[in-house]
Amino acid sequence: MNSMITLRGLNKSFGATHAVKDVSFTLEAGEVHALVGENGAGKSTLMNMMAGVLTPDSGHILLQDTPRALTSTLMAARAGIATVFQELSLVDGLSVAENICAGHAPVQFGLIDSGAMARRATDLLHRLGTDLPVWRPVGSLLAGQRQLVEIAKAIGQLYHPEAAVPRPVRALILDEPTSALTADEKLRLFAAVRELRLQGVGIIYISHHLSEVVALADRITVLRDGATVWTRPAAGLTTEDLVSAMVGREVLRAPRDEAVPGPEMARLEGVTRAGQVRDLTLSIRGGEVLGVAGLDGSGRETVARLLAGVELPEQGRITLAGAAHPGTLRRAMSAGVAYVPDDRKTLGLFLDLSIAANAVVTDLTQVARAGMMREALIHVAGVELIADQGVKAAGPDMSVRSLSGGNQQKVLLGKWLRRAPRLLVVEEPTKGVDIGAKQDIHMRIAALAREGAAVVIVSSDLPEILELSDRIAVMHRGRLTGIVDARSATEESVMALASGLVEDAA
Amino acid sequence: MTDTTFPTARRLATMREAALLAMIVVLVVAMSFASPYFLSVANFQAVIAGMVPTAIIVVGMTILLVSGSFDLSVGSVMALASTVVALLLLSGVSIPLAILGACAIGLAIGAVNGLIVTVLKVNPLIATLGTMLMARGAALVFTEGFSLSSLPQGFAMFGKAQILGLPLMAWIMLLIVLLGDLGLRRTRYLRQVYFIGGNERAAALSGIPVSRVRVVCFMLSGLLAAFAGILLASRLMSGTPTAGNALELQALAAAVIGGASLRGGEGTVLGAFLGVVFVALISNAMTMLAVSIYWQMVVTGLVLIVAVAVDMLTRSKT
Repeated sequence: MNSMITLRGLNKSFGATHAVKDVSFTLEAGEVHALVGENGAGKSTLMNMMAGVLTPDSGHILLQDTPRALTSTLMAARAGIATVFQELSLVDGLSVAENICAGHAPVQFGLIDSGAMARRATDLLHRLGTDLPVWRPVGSLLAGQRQLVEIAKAIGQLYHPEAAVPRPVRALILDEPTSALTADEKLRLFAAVRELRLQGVGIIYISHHLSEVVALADRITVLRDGATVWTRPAAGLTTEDLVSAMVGREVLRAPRDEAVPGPEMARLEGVTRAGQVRDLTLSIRGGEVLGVAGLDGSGRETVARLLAGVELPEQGRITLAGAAHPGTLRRAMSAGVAYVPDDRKTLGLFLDLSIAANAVVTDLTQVARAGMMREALIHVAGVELIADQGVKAAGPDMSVRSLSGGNQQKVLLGKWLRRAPRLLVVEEPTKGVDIGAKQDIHMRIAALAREGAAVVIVSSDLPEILELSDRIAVMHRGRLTGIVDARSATEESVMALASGLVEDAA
Repeated sequence: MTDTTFPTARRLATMREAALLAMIVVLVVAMSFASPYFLSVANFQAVIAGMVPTAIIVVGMTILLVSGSFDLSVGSVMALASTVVALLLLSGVSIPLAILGACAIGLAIGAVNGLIVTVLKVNPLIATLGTMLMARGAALVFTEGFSLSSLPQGFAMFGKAQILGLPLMAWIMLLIVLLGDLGLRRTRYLRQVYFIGGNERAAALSGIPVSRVRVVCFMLSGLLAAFAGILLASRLMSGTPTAGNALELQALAAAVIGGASLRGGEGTVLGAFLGVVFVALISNAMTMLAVSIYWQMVVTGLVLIVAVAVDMLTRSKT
């Protein structure tokens, strides 16, 4: 047998949550084995058990058919398992070589031998079929280059500080390696993965990007609710096959009725902010979903921030339902504006507070009587939010930090929907959330528009914009290059406007 | 009582309060065996009188800590207020007006602290370190370094008047602590402080007027420090420009011992008050056991580190 890692009947629970249920599979030498599943399906827990971060409650991990207890990351590394975690672990101020050789820098007479360190780093990068200037500080690298350094560093951890040659790499675990990469960088990463596969390394590849998984993997294991759905060869599988296995049901699209445009809810007129947007004129009506598309740096997020009152126009004017925009988010909220910022962890949520506390923050007066908080009302608000948004949580007292990304995003949207907004401005409505949650969030956004509210979606996810919007405003370098009807638009037609290749007179 | 809003923080806080209370009981029982004088009325009155300023100041400090901030100027503001009230009284201003004047000074310095932090974006350590030096300096300038005595007899009431065997100032302290605890636990306005301390940017993007609340918290802290200064002047019957040295650090230590965190988002007034009581009893116990006063600082520092270390260790396990 050539299996690098065999998992037999692994179980892991956290409190009442059975995160991994009786999972078994094998990782063969020289295969790319993808793990897919929604957030909370157990991928991370499984990965952490193989990486020595977590120990299973029951079951066995066999390395080349020998049972091994992996009780620390060091032990896993010594056993030949290299892991690249999602959180980047590089130090920006140090060089590529120093980062790659962290913890096992070659030493001579008690001092770091920089020549040997450079050679070691270069060797490791060569194994990935790549070359980087090893003395460049990591902070100056592009995201794709950093990811390659991460992989070289992970493999480098198999070096023993005292030994000149590394231990053999049995397995490399990659967790969402492409999330920050451009298309070109992804191709280079895939080349590196294929290079390692040729060297007989078994690769566990965890990703949300199903088209990548289908293209790159030899075999795919689908996890749902902590258990294996199936393991199949990737050849012949489609992303739809994966999605239905992950979700356990057919995926529905948010129902799309013909938009019935109501009265104008917001208007930007000749709005300019230096370096962000120029001479922007745009009208948003009740009952419609307006998508704002554009490349990074196009100023698309400025549109959201202007409408929310978080940023102010330097020239031009903004009106809300005919009245002048009051200029702060707090006052705009009284006029019926809700604003979901793009980063739920740093800008949107109070991670250490409960779901209930997060639910009520946008309207504390509603859960207070005579200036005093009513805990019972707060509790009810939490229960309602969980029910209304379909949050998977044990109860309203759970801290938001303990929820999966998709459920966190539902809490963030829910705290604003509780206010029954007339104008909902959402940045990146489903960034980093799983398919089921994405679908739930889309349905709720569409439902709000059907009830007559105006919705503005700013997203870097073009398919999402096309699916959700009635009209799409496309930005290029701070200027509006066109407003297109979403039903007739395609990714290509929007991209043409977004890249400034064409300009729509409309 | 069910506190559902902030379950984790609340549960930890309640545990901390219970543990502190237990330690206080153990200390009292142990000391009553160790020293015959410990359980005397006179000793308890001395302990309470000694902790009045810290206990009042710790209320504002805790609210600031929960908001993710703190105020180093409180000791100096207390000294300045004690000299201002004395100066006003000596120049013939009536007692109520003199008290109001001193309170106004505290509010004003609090407002300045708040504006420096929110408008000028200077971090609270530097901002309140600066006003701490300025307030202390002003107190010394006003008095040329001397204490101001010969205050009108009527002003002694806070220290002299007794209700149910406790001086009036002790009752005022308890009232402030109770109101502070209720306010921070229950009022809508101060609930905003937990959100600001939990995630300041998310609070602002949820429509909480972060800067305004911060300024109000600093003003409250300044007001309470000034009020502590007025009570001190009443007890000593003098305005003392050198009073309250290192009091800001004692209040910070007591609040942290009582469960507040320098990272913000956590802490209760009751816990902080128990922290003050605990530290005061330890000092008293050492005095009773004839340990040098200088050792008491060493022990307070040790208690602070042990309390936080135990907290970190118990938390990392959960």
